[in-house]
Formats: sequence, C-alpha cells, structure tokens
Amino acid sequence: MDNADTQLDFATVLASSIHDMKNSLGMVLNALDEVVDAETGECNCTPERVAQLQYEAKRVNDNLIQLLTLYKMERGHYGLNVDEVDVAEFMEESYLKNKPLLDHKGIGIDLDVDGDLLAYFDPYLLDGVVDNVVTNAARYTRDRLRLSARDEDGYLHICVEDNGTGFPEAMLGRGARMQGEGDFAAGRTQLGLHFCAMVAGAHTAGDRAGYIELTNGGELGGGCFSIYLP
Amino acid sequence: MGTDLKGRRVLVVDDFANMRTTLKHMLEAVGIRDIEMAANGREAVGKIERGDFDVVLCDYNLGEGKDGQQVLEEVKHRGLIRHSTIFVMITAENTMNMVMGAMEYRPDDYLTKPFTKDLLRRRLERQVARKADFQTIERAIQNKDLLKAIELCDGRIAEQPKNVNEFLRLKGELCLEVQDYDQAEQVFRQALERRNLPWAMVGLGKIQYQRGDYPAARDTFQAAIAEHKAYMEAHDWLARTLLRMGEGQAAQDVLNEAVAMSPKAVLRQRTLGEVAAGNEDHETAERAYRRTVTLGKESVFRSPSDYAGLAQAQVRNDGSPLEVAKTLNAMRQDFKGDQAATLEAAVAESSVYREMGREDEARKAFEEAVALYETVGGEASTQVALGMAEACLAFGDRERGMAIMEHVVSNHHDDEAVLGKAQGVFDKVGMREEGEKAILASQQEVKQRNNQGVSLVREGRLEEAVALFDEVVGKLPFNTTANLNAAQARLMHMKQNGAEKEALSRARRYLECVRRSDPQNANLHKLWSLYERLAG
Repeated sequence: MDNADTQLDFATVLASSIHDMKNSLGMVLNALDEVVDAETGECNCTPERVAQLQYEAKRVNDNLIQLLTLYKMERGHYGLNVDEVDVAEFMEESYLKNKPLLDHKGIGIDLDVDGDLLAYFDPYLLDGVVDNVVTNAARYTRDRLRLSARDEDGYLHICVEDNGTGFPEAMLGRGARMQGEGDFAAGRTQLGLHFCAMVAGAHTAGDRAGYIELTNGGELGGGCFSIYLP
Repeated sequence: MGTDLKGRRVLVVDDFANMRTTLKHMLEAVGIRDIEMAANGREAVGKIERGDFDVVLCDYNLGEGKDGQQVLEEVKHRGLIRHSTIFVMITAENTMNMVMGAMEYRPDDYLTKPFTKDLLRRRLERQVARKADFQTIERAIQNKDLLKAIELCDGRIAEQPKNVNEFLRLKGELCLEVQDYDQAEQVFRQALERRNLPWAMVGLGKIQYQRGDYPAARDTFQAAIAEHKAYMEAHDWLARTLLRMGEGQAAQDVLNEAVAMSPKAVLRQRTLGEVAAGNEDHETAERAYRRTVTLGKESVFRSPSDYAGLAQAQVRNDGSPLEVAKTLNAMRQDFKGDQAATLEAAVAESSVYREMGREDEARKAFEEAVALYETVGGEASTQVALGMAEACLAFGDRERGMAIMEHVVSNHHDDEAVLGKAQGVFDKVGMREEGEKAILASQQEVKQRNNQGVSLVREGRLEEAVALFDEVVGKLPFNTTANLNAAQARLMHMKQNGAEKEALSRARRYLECVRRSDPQNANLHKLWSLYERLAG
C-alpha cells in the first residue's frame, strides 16, 4: 500500500478529523437551537433542517469509523475480513442506509447492479467507503445519484455518480490526490479520500490491488467516484 | 409463516433502556409484535432458557457481566437455542475482530450501529430465507445423520444456486467430520478454482494434517495466514500443527500473534497458557492463564484447570505463596456448589501444594478430593481422574491410585494420547516400569474381550455378541471400541430380526457415547446412518 505522494501521518489525520467533527457538531447544536423557538416554544422542524442534521450527524459517524480504521491499519492491526458478498444485496443495503438522508434532501437515487454478481471484499470496510462517498456526493449533487456495480476485467467496479458540477480538476485521476497540507477546508475531503484509497488498496488478489478513481461526466454528467477491487 | 416476519418471537438484549425501546419500535414498525427484552447477559440467557425465540437481537456490549459473544456461546454450547433461531449481534465501532476471533460459535449476522429499520427488516428477511434454505440439512445434522446431510448438500450444489459456496463449505466440513478426505479435498479444490477462499485453503490444510503430512499442513496454513491475516482458524490450526511437529516455541509465537488480534477468545488464551507452560515459559503462561481466568468468569467454557494452570505458573515463577493461595481460593470460590468442579479444584490444589513442598496442605486437599471422588469420581474427566490417581500414588494410597489408573486405561485402551498421559503420571511418581506393565495388562484384557465379541459377530452368533458387549460396556462405559462394537452388534441383530424399541435406545446410547469422546470416528457415521434407517 505504498502511496508515495501521501505523507499523511496519524496526528494530522486526527487533527483534521476532530476539526471536521467539531464543525459538524457545532452545526447540529445550532440547528437544534433553532428547532424550538426559545420564546414561543414552537417547533420549527422543517424537512430541510432535519436533512441538515442528518447530514452532519452522518459526517461525524463517517469520521469516527475512518479514524478507527486508519488507526488500526497504520498499526498493522487491521486484518481484512474478506467475505463472499452478493454485490446487489450489498449495494441495496447501502442505498437503504442512505435513503433517509437523501429523501429529506429531495435527492433521487438509481441502483444499477447485476443480480448475479458475487465479489470478495471486506463488507464492513466497503460499507464505510460507500457511505462516505454517498454522503459527500449528496452535498455536491443537484438532485440525483446513481449507484452501480459491475465486473470490469476481473475487477469489481463500484461507481457513485452525481449530477452536480463535478470534481475539481486537481482531484481527477487515480488515487487520493492531495491538495496541499494544512488546509482544513480541503482537509475535510482529504481524510475521506485517503480512507477510501487505503481501503481499496488493502484489498489484494495476487499482484493486483484495489484503487479509487475520480472522473467527471458519466451517466449523470457530474462527478463519478469509482472504486476498483480485484 | 413462510418468510414473513410477522408473528415471529424476538428477544432484544441491550444494556441501554433507550436503545431497547428504539429497537422495539423498529421491530414493531416492521410488523413484529411478540417482543421480549433483557438488560444484560444473565437475563438474556435466562429468558432464552425459559422461552423459545425465533430471533435474538443482542448488542455486543452489555455493560458488566457477559458480553454478547459470551451470551451466544453459552446458549449454543448448552443447546438452549434452536438451529433455526436467528442470532444477530449488534456491534458499534469495529468490534468485528473481537467477535470474529471467536473459535467456536458465530452469530448468524452482524449489524453495526447506526442502522435503519429498513436495513433491519432486510437483514431479518434474508436470514429467515437462509434458514429455510438450510433447514433440511440442519435437521439431518441435528439427527447426527451426517452422510445424509452431505447428500442433501450435493443436491443443492447441483442446482448451482448463487450461494453455492456456502453449501460447498458446509459439505467440506461434513466430509472432514466423517473422515472422507478424498471427497473433502475435491470440494476444497473446487472452491479454490474461483478464488483463494480462506476456508478452502484451511480445509486443505486440515486434510494434510489428518493424513499426517505435517510439514505440508504447516505450509498451507502459513499461506492462508499470509493472504488472510484475520482468519483465526488458520492461526489455530498452524499452532496445532507446529505442536505436532514438536516446535513448541513456534506454536507459541503463532498463538501470541493470534491473541493480539483477538484478545477475548478464552479458549485460545487457555491454549496459549498450556503451550507456554509446555515450553517452560512460565511468565507467558502466567499472563495467559490470568487472562483466561478473567475471561472465564463470564464464559460457559470456564474451568478450574485455568486457575490450576495459573497457580502452577505462579509457583514456577517463584511467586509469593500468598499470591498462589489467593489464586487457589478464588478457584474454590468461583466453583462453589459445583461438586465435579470442586473435585477438580481439590486435586489441582493438592498438586500445587505438593510442588511448593507444603505437604500438610497438600494432604488436606487430597483427603477432600478422596471424599468427593466417592460421589462424583465416576463422571470425572480423564484429566481429573489422572490427577486424582497421581495424588493417590504420591500419598501412598496405592490401591486406589492403581484402581483409577486401570479404569482410565481400560476405558481408553487404544487412545495414544491418554495412554501417554497415564504413563506420564507413573513416571512422575517414580513407577515407570510398573506403570508400563499395568498399562499393557489392562490393554490386553480389553483387547481380548473385544476380540471375543468380534469373533462371535463373525460367526453370526449375534445374540451372544450383544450380551458380551453389553457386559463390557457396563464395566467400561467410556471405551470407544466397546461402545462401537456394542452398537454394531445390536444394529446387526436388529437388521436380521427387526427393530425393537429397547434395543434401538441402547444402540443410540452407545453411539452417543462414541460421539462425545471421538466425534471424528469413521465407523461412527456409518453406524449412525444404519441406526437412522432402522429407527425409521
């Protein structure tokens, strides 16, 4: 798992993560403050507000999972629990998990997976990855997401597409492209990307390893986040 | 009920009241009404013991007392739960490695928090369908008719369902159990064609082990670990193989690595303790046994021998007598009221005090053991019996000591491991030659009787054979060969003269006994099939 261009040490990861989580929790507390009017006791719970709360809470959860996993991987304590996975079922579950958030944001979602597809990966880890990608995509998409999976040259290709404005130029291509250190705003996505790249890379079969790839265009015309697993 | 969730009976186990309520609401939203709750492990086991649940939703973390995995192990080990009951473990963060490192029992599924009710529903529906899929096979296994179970697996495999690998895996395990190594090998190789699946790699390794090709087994298990570091079974089998090859230290290293990844598996910690003690690494042994004792407090696998191992390691580490006494006292406390366990504790205590040179306390414990042996000695495990015999011989109670040894040897006259241990006891008390003679004599006697019976069977004198073997089993209730022969004679008699209730029940008892002591026995499974056919 040699990623020569990433010198992400755990302290940086931790700091960036905590910063992110504090932001999220701050927004949650704010939003909750506004939910009940202090003077009238009236409840201002709109779907938009609920969606925002859900989104920020999910971000915190994603962060925690990533932190723990990266910590263990760094220490070599993480043994992948590879299992035979029914990909259609797996993607459907991802969809079910994220549906409440997407519904509240008014985002439609398409699923396109071959019912017979079987693959071998750590479902717990990949669940975290897909969750992460979907949570992010939900932020940047206009009103639609597409989850797909297929067999491509002996790799399982999982793809999350949106119809937003797409990824910035600097992020496109294979692997987790780092945009510069010390930039906490970019740091948000950095940790997530790093996590996804590490999880993909940890999956090996013979001399092949998994990887992530960001492209623009695709079926929905926005960004495409691809995960390839051998 | 089909694959419908309504009408199913569910037990929710979680130490947080609001989590229990949340789960209850989720279940109700899914259409389930029959819901019971438990706030901790002890309550859960109690309810499962008294009730009959279709689904158990159990959080891994249950605060003080048993954790979810320990609940699962207890209810499965004690047979309190049906095969068709779905056990779902709810985990937070990655407690996966905690749970997956367990050796014996695994939940049907895991759910990580947070999850939605739709996900819960989806998982439950999937498990219900899955249980239905395996129902006939599970029933055959429950009836001990393994050959039939294999047949059923073959049927499903031929249909090439999506989850064909699950059936292949089960078939492979079953073939291993009936010692059909050729077929097992075929199965595992077939699975490996598509992918280097960990269970198939380990399966091949197990075959090599059983065929006695230990170096090949070692290589196979090492390859499996290299590719699947978190697959605990590979580590356990590698350690076992290395021990067979006499590489005690290497085995210990493997186990050390395994417990680092999965620290809460009590059986593995115990094995580490035993291996370390065997390697004279008393520091590691002490640490491992200490952990075993702690983990054992809430585990169904606990045993006085863990305390004994700890005490022994403490003695050999030049520990303070006070510490050793504390350990022995804790052992007594922990197993108070359990007579068989107290016997074991007394025997262990006697041995430890003898090693410390405290003869008076050793004798006191010994006398207590003697008294207990009168009542529960008959059911004592071989290990305890040997310990008892050693104590008797050490304290000059020759008659009793030899009687116990003779009994143990006769009951296991062809079990090399047991005979080896028995000889070890004689060596320890300075009776090597005498011991060798006694063991041989007991063996001869049993062999003779068995051969007599076998001749009778060959001559077609089945009724006489039945009588003879019944007598032998009466005297040596744990002797595998005698039990097998007795069962076979009965079954053959019934084949000729028709099945009869009393005879069937006897035959079954004999087979059960063999299954308990030698579940891998090749003849056992053929006889079970025959029994099942006659029982109709």
